Amino acid sequence: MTVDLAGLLAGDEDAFRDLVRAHQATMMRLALLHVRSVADAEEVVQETWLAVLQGIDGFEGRASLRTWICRILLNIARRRAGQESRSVPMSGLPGADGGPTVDPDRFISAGPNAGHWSVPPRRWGRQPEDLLLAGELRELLGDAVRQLSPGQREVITMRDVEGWTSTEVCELMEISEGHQRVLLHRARARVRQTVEAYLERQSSPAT
Amino acid sequence: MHELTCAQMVESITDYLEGALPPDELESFRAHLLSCDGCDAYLDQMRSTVRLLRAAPGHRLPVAVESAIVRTFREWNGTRADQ
Ligand SMILES: [Zn+2]
Repeated sequence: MTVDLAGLLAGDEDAFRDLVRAHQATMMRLALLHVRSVADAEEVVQETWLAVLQGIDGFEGRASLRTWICRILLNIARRRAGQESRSVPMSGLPGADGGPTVDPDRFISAGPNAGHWSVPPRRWGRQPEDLLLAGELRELLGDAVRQLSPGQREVITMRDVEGWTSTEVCELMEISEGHQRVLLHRARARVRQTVEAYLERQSSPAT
Repeated sequence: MHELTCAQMVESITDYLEGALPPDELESFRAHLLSCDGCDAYLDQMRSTVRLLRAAPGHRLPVAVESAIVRTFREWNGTRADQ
């Protein structure tokens, strides 16, 4: 990435275009976590590149270039989202902020086996992957991520969709490893629950 | 070794997958997993969830937007050259 940056500073337009292309998918995805429309996300990406260019001399190379760019984008997207919907309260879903991430009714509540599964999870096998091709599950997954808290949404997207390391995500969000894990845990548990509920509906039709 | 309930297992699963469990807890976690099909299935489901997320579709930046960004670069480059 240092090569790209050097090219950039030398005014190499092709190098810059490569950089824009290399990061477009991640930037759009990250923007869409906070703004509603694709057009708004495109504006956020545009605004980000302007801010990147204006601030390029301040890039010290302590974080990776992509982390630095995405942090700028995140600030712009968050600010925009804040202006749009300050009054919308955060989801009061179970397990959103604290408490168990699996419905306590799934466990035996008393006796020698307390805390063990009463309704154990079943094995999914290849079923979700096969259903993913049909598209409905794909949409459902997107909705599930959008319904998470902003922090959970950012962590699960960067870790599991984009495949960033926990170190990078901590740098991006300026949070600790421990906090990152808590957000990831709650987010994954929530999405798992959505998939499970969907698969149950699939196997028990017409109810 | 400390025995874990399934309810505790599900809350440790991300720490396990992240390699963040301290050695003694890791030992308890693994021991439980070997003897509990429900928790093993839950772990499978979590891994499956991550795989599903990885397949999420993305949006491409339209050519017009990319061109606008490159124009911004050209202007920025021009003002830098002037200085
Ligand atoms: Zn168990």
